[in-house]
Parts: sequence; C-alpha cells; structure tokens
Amino acid sequence: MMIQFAVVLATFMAAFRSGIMESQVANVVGGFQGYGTINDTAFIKEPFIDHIVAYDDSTIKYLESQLQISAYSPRIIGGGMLTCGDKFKIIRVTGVDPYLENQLTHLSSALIEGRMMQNSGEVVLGARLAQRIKADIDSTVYFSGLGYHGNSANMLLRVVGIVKLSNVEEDKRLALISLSDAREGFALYEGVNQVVLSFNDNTRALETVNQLKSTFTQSSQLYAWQELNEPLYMLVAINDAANIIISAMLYFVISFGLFGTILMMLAERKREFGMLIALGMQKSKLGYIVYLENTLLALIGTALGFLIAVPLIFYFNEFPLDISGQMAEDMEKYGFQAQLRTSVKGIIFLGQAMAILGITLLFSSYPILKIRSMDAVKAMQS
Amino acid sequence: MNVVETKNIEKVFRDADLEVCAVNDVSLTIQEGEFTAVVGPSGSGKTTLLNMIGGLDVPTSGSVKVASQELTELSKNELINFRLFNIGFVFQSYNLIPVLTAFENVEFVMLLQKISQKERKQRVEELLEAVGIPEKANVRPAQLSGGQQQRVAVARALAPKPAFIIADEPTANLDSKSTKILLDIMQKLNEKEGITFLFSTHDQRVIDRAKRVITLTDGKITSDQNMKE
Repeated sequence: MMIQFAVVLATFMAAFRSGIMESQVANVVGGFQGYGTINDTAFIKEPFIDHIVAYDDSTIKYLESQLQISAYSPRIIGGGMLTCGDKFKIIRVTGVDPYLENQLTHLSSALIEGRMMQNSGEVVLGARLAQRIKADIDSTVYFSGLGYHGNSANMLLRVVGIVKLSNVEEDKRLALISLSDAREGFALYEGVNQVVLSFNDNTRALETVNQLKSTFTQSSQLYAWQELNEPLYMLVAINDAANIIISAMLYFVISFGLFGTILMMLAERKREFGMLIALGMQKSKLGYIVYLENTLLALIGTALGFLIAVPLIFYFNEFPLDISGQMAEDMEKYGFQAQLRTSVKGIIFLGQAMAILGITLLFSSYPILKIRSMDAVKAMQS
Repeated sequence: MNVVETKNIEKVFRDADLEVCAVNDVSLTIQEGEFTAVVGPSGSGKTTLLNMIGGLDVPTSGSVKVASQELTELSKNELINFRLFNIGFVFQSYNLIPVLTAFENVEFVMLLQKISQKERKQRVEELLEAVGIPEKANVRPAQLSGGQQQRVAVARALAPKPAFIIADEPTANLDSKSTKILLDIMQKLNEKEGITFLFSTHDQRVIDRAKRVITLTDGKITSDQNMKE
C-alpha cells in the first residue's frame, strides 16, 4: 500500500512539475515564436524590418534538405498602428506564407471565427487584439507603420479570421497578412526578417541548431529558442534544478515511510522469525526469503502504483486543471497559460517508478542484516 | 544411552553493572526414553537450562552434549543445523505459523530437511493421526483451539525424528481437558515409541506424569527424583 502510494505520488508530482514547464515552452515557443530561427543578429535586440536575412532558392533548398527540420515559415514583421473605427493599437503585422505557417504553428486549428488569408488584402487577428480594437469578421482595419528603409507602410485590410492563441501576449498583438501583401506593404522585395523553424525533436532544439550550424553558410544567423528567449530558458533551467531538489525531498519523505513500514514488518514478525530460526531455518535462508518477499511486494506495489498513476496522468494531460483568479491573471500577464497540465513523457513514469522500486529494494536488504544478528530466544520472547 | 549430558554448565547474564547467574554449575544426564520434568519457581533457570540443552543459547562455561555432539564446539550455523535434525521444540505459546495449515506447519521442518514430498505427506498424516487431529490437517492455527494448536506443535516437533523433544511449559496456556489430552498423547509417544521428552513446568498435572523430576532453585539442582522409585 505504502509503495503504491509512493509511486503514485512521485509519478504524479513529477508529471505535473514537468508538464507545467513543457506546456509553457510549447505555448510560448511552439505557439508562435518557433523552436529555431534564422534571423539577422541585430534583429534579436532590435526587431526592426530593416534587419533582414536572405530567403532565396538556395535557402529554401537548404531548409528542405535538412532532415531534422520538420517545418519552416518565412516571416516579414513590421511595426505600426492598427486602427478599426476609433479604436487603435500599436502592433506588429506579420507577413507569412499561410501554407508554410500552418505547417509550422497549426494556426488554422486556433481559428475561432472565419478562415485563414487566401487573397490579397486579408488579415487574421488574434482574438484579444480583435476584442481590443472591436474588430469582427469583415471589419476593415487600417495599418500605418514603417516600411523597409524608411518607406511608409499603409495597408487597408479586411478581417477574414480570428484566432485565439494560448500565448496571451502574442494573441494581443497578432495580425497576420500574406507574405506577398507584406512585401508590397512594407516595400521589402527581397529577403525576410525571420525564418522560423520547427524540428523533428523539439526537445533537442539547441543540439539540433548546433548541428545545423556546421552546414549552414550563414551559421551566425541560426538560433535556438533558448538563445532568443533567455528568460524562459532560465526559468526551465531553474525549474529543472527545483525538480531535482523537490524530488530529493519527496524521496526522502517516501524513504522514511518505506523504512518505517519495513521496521514495522520486522517488529510484527520478529517472534515468527525467532521461531523459524529456533526450529532450524538458517538465517541466510530466512533473510533471502524475506528479501524475496519484499522484492515481490515492491514489484507488485510499483506495478499497481504505476497502473493507478498512468491513467490519471493521461487524463490531466488531456484535461488540464484551469487556474482561476488573480494567479491566472498574473500568469497570463507573463505570457503563460493559466493551466496545470501533466507531462506524458514515458521517462517520467518509469523514472519515478524505478526510483521508488530502487529505494524499496535497498531498504529490503535491512531485514537481512537484522535477521543475521537476531537471537532466536530473545526474538521469541518479544 | 545418554541423549543429553551437561557438565558444570553456567549461564551468566550481564546487563550494565548487573550480573545474574541464571544457571549455576548444573550437571545432568538424560537417557533415551526418559519423560523428565524440570520444575522450580519462576526465575529458577528452567527455561535457560532448556535453551542451552536445546542449542538455542550457549552456556557461559561448561559443556553440553546432545546425541554425543558437544554443542559448545559448534558455530552458530552448525548449531541451527543441529537443531533442525536432532531437537524437537514445543513452546508455551505454540508458535505455529499463522498463514500455514496444520498440515503445512508440521511439514515445514521436513521441507527444511529436504525430505521428499511423498515421504513428507506420509509422515505428516501419521503424526496428525498420532496427536489425534487428522481431520484438522487443512485448518489454519487461528481456527484451532489452544489444545489443538499445541497438538500440532507436538506433531511438528516430532516431524524431523529428533533425538528428543524439549517442551517449555507446554500446558501453561491450556485448560484441564486439553492438558489431559496432550499429556496422554505425549505419554503414549514416550511409552510406545520411546520418544524422549524434557519439560519445564509449573503444572502439577505434568509433574505427576513425569518419570523423573529435576528441581531447580536459583539456578542449581536441588533435587533429582526418579518417580518410579
């Protein structure tokens, strides 16, 4: 019972701790920012439209040939003011290839109204931006901003779709137009500001980018999300370190419980052990049998705990717990999703279950030591 | 033939500054087929003496020979093995394994002796028959009365065909009826099969049946009476 509880508790807590951070990374990075980018070094500190990178046939050929890259999307990004009637907001309009962008960020699945852009002069807005400037489907919005090399950028656009991003900050400023409209509107006829990348294994984004750097001619323009979003990367690193500390504390508490259970078993069965030794059972044999007994119990307990924990973890991955109130507002303010979601990475279940099994097996050897030094007469008198 | 032979055995228990001599210079012999009771008041050293004879405890000084084997020369593991093949125990509180049936409790010691299944089965059935509870073979200790449990314990003590049986206050927890039945069984085993019994007891009913009564007082033998005389 104790072992099952320990496995469920350790697995569940680890799944939540990892899941929360995983979903924040997926939300912030995977939602729109991208796990990797190609952009001018200056664009990182000053994301102005003037900082461009080449996006020509050789770049496309390179991107298509790299097996680690699962999707890519070129973007032209320009700042300015978006107006709808008497409402306005300072935003960044992003020009994208709708097909490539959808491959990368699956934005069409975030549509809550309308559709993605298909024709010239169409725009898709983030739900919170649309709400802020009171824009609906078919509303006409006006963008006025700065184009490439000091040109002015003025665009009259019709709202054809509204998407709701889980990344609140991104949702407040999202205005998507087609790449060709952006080229015309910003007078940027060659290159793009950013090519956003997604990888086959996004958990290894940093390693993948480092590998790509050895084959990409403009290697200084290749970045992993960890290099672009240092605060989030630091947060993940701090969370990982905290996880180790919390896990150690949890194991410590669990160890006490397990050791207490073994001590209790020893106290309860001391008389029985004494009697068996008195009757002629070798202590080594008795110790071995008790160890086998504990091992079997540990295996059954771990398996049962695992079976109880796994469905719960999958359930809370599919249906995360919503956070409400001030805490939710604070989280959204910093671009985090106000949800507690579990991670379904196999290593979490197995790692925790194996750790508990290991602790149990380690403590199971204690009865062997006690039995070795047991006095049959005293044990029977207990 | 001497089954047990002790010479000047002494057992001293030390606890911090306190030193207690539980058995003091005891020499005795028990011959094959004896039905002997060791009696004396509480704290007189009966159980300590029996524990040393049974190889459960070692004397501070002196010699204990059981079936011609000097027990003080044996290592702990050898002593455990010696007990397994040579000495049967009946304890005051039965000490049966609660999760095993009566049959399995009796069979258990023979399993340790690595006796074949066929032989074990036959012997367990004979022994349960001998103690008068063959119908309780598949019953667990909790479902047996105290007297029945003690009879299973006697059968278990007999299972390894020991040189003799040590019974530490075997009737202390039994009512009169159960005591009589148990004593009848043990007496019958002694008389018909020549099994040697050595009891420690306070119980006058046991003392009355004993062929020899050894009285211990403050760890010393103060009388040794052959009751046939």
